[in-house]
Amino acid sequence: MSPEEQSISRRTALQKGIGTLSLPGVAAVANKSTAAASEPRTPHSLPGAKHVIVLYMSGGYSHVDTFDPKPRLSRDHETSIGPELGRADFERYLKAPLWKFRPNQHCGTQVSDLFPHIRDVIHEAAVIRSMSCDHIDHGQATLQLHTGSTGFAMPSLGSWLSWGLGTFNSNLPAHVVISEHRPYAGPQIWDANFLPGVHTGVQIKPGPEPLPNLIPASPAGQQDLELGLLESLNKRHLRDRSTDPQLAARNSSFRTARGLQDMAPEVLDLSRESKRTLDLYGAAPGDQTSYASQVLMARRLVENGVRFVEIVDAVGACRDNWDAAHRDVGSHAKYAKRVDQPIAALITDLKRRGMFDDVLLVFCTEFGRTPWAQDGKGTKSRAHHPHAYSCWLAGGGVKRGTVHGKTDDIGNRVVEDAVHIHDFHATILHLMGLNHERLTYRHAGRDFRLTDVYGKVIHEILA
Amino acid sequence: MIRSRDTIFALLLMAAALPAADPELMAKHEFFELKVRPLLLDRCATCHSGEPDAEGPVSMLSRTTIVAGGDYGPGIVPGRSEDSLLVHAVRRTHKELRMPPDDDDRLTREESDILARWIDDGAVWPGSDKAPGSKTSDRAELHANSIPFDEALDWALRPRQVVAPPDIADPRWSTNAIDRFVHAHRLQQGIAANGEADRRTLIRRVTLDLTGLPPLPLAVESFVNDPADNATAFANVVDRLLASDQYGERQGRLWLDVARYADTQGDVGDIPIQTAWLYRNWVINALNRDIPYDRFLQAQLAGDILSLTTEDERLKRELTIATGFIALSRRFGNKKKESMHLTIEDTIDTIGRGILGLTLRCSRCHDHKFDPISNADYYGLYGIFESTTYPWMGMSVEKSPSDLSPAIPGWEAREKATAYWDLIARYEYQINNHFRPWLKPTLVEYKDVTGKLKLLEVELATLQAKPDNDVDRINKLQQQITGLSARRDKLLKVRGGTFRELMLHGLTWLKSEKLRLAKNPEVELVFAVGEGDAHDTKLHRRGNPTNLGDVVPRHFISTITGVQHPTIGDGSGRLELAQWLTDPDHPLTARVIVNRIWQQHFGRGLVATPDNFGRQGSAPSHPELLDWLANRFVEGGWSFKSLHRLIVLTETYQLASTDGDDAAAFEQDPNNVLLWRYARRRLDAESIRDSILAVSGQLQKEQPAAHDIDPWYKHRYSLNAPFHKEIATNHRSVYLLTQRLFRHSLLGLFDSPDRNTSTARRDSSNVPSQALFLMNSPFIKQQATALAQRVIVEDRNDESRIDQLYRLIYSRPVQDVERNEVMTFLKQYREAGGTPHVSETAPVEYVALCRTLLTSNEFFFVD
Repeated sequence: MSPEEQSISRRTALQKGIGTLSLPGVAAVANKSTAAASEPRTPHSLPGAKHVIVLYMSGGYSHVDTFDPKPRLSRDHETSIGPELGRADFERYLKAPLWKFRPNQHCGTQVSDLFPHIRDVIHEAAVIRSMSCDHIDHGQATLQLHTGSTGFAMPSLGSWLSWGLGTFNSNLPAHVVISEHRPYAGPQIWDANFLPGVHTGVQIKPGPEPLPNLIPASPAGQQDLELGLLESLNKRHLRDRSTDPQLAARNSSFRTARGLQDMAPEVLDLSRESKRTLDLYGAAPGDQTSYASQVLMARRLVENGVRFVEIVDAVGACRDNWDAAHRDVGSHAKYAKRVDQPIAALITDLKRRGMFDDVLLVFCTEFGRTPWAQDGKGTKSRAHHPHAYSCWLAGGGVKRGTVHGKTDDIGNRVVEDAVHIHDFHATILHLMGLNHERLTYRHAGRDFRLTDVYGKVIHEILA
Repeated sequence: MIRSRDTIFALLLMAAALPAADPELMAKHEFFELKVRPLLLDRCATCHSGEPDAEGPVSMLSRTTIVAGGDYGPGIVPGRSEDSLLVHAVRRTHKELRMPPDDDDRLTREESDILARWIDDGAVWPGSDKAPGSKTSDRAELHANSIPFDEALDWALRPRQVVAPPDIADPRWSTNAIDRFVHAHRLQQGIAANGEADRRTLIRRVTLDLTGLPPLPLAVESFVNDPADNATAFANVVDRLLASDQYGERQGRLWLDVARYADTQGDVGDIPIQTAWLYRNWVINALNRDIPYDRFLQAQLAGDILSLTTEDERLKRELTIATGFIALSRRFGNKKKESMHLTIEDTIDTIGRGILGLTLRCSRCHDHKFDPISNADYYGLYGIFESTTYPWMGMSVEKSPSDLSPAIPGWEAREKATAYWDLIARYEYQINNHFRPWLKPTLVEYKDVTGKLKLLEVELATLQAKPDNDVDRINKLQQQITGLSARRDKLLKVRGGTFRELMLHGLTWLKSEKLRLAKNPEVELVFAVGEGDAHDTKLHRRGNPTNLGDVVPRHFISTITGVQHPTIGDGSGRLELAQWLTDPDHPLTARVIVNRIWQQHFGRGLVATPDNFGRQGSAPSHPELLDWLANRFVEGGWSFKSLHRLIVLTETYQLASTDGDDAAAFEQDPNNVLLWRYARRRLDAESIRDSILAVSGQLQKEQPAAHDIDPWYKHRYSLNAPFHKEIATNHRSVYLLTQRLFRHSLLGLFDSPDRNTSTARRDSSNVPSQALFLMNSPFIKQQATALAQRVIVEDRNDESRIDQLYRLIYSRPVQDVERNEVMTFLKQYREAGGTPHVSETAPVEYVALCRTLLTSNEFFFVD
């Protein structure tokens, strides 16, 4: 078998839904034609975590106002550090952070007053203060955060993980994205692209119909009659065609869909949560749409076997988010308030349930913000800044209470332990038990991977 | 190494001897000599010596070479340590470049700070030298390091072989050349083929295959009952299908996969291209007319140039529209031309994988890692497209369109069009910037000056009208007027006169004038390419367009020999490229397209990787057959319809798809590489939707024109508010609005092609979200209802209705056991459910039955 041939049969097998753990009968049929290719992929190494929850703060929060304290900015507030490269007429005046930094009482990591709740649990996390990426615009940087690429469409992190690891629960998709609004770069950020379509993220929109086509077209009893007839038709059709794994896989997809139809509303139904839990997150009873509810849904999805959940935080489309370009950085307060308590609660809740070691939490954004005011001396906004920013990881396999990497004394550039977005991806894959150099997919003549030709695992933040 | 040390000491002596008058400069020289130079010598120059055989390509022994840098771009930006590669490399904050490479050798913090301080201080280097100019390299030099051509591995680049079909004794396989090749391979492996498919299976297969729609019940019955022998009866069916308009819609869709067709640009706002449909319809209609493939390609690559050689206006217009193939390359980002290198990469990739079956794109940053294609070959082609004018529908920060082509091209029309877009852009610029603070003083003063002028002129006229005019006063007034007029004229010229109309006529006038212009172009303007400024391009080192290397003369892939490489004349080179690609002797063009057609019919190409005939692609399963087909295709005048006819009339195509009369065949060749049966497959996304619409009677068959989308000047699209629309229509799927950034809600679910790059092969997944769609979506419900109504009206009783449904959906009569099962279902369904599921237009049990039949495997798969 040529490598191309192998990848085709592996792909074919996975498309038929055979790559999941729960369809042994189907897998047996498929094995006749596709040999070893259909087994679920086992991790390359012992994984730190089994699930991922990505908490993506859309718009780019300011690192110097949140996780990267720079006293010099307050000291030298409104003093110039010279013109910007290629813009001789733009003088860069430093701008003090709007919030005070205070240490976490266990590990001393400094977090600003924007995130009082997160600060209280940051000793459970590894903060990376030396992130960088390759693009200064939201669309491209968001695409890179999710796919590694700033331009050409590539599979997303969630799709790679879904493809690489499969799912624990075939009644639910392996890759779920909770996104109330259309994010930057649209559905491309959860697209499977050239990976089999089954790995595309399923978008959940908090509300009455969280998944498309979830509400039965006919009452349950009647729908089951329809599905019964369908099963019978398909069974008869299969009689002379028993060697074809596609047919059996398609039959089983209806059974899975039926399960999903029942299970998804149940999983997403927060009325099953105790008052204590709702209070911890700050979710009101009956509320199914707030950020707190979305975080709870993420936990419930993971609890029910979903491999990868991402919550895209944007209050309204792409305009009402962390973006503070030509806009008062003070607006950060609104967005921080929305996410601070629920995210801290998630850590506490996961620990209470003994799930913290199984789940990798990724708190991230597409880039940072300039240490200087964007529109000249004394102005309120900060511009996009891909050269340095902060993210954090917590949970399974992550070293707790550490800070990794360093920026210069104003937070302009990384000076120590640089973590490019490719390194970030390599580390996430590593924590999930996948080697980023071996997780490759043959497409259009070559092997592609999430980290392109780059990426190194940040061993310093591993437990 | 000793020699280089000597040179360094000589340099040191020279430097020390130079006088430095300025004390600040002296201090910098001292810092350099004491701290920087020793560091560069000790830690860098061992490898970066500047010697021809040096390990590091960039010499660290002169400021010029360090500033110039290498593949990663400039080594330092004097004055800006934070933007200097050298600092990032030694601090290991660059994502790839880490110097010195060995972690044990890394510079200390103090050492890297020394380099940073030196750069921030202007990177002063006593006695700097001059920069070398860029040069045009000769051919041999450019290709020196790429992988050499290999006879065996690069089989696809070799001329096609002339092969005769093998002699076959078995009469079942001996009449047709294709069958003879295929059968010979099977014989070699000792594999027996299935029997023939029956007529019902066959007509459903070939109708879906050639038209993307299921056969009408009448057509099925007339074929089944045709007294003629199988071959004759089947040939009649095939000829009828090839002559139908639906043929072009199906074949066109498959070409649009290759051409990564979409109705939007793919930039951050996914801005719609109102005239893209012209290209789409051109493809469909050209295929229906069976335009030869060589002319089909020439039109798409160089139609605008070819149109200059014809007088026929209709033909000129069509040829222009055909270049949509290039014009529809993807756009990126928010500014025109900022990412032009990516747009051209898409053009080259589409030609590479789409037409040549080569992954040319892989040689953008370096020589191809697997195939004999050099980095210079890529930029030889790149120059051709850099010399081509691409149209724009606007971008999020440059709103108005530009460079759309006149549908009837010509120099005069092109100039007029350019002037037209320039004027619109000029007005738009004023509209977008009228409020800027830097403009305000000018506008205020202009208002003041013209106001005063007006008053003075009135006063002057009044004075002059008086019989006893005051000459002194008049003179004084005239002087003032002259002065103010001069001032006014000067103001009108502020910022190169770019705000002239704003001052003269005001914002309201500008807006309405822009709109008037936008609504009334003088000539029809279409999304097509034109000839630009013909030139050779500079190689982009490591694919970085800001890091330019040597000039590369425009040329085609140099390792493809055995075909004439035309000399590029005065134009961009697209015409010559088209000639080169469509030369009957070109080894790849015909092989690649016949393989695509083969894949369409058999589910798998003779080369299983239709877009990659290189070393990483699959070797052909039947190499002689591939060449025989390609030869036959070219000799037969590049006719698609003849090729389809040739293939579908074979015994091989007409095999049954069942499990296999011979169980050994399945064991031995489960992937059916040897074609012992017909490969069953799931309908593709478009065929699923079209078939459902056809069966329900809702399909609108006529060819639509433009999409119902607003003209460009009505909206502004951006990252925050991109274009996104799904238009409800019952036209065939090939005519649906196709966006690059958003998938169609139905087609996307069933593995529609990527709209961003050329698609070689459709996936066919079976996932729960599809099942949910089929169970619960309004679309399926509507179609099931329409179908239920149709059979309720057409037939009187349940039995005949059920039979009619089976004929419509499965192209066959219902069997007794099935009828009984369905009757039971209808009865149970009626009885079930306390809350009756009300449908106003058809009994719910029929809607449910139709939905179930429409979602079953028998309908979704082609046997």
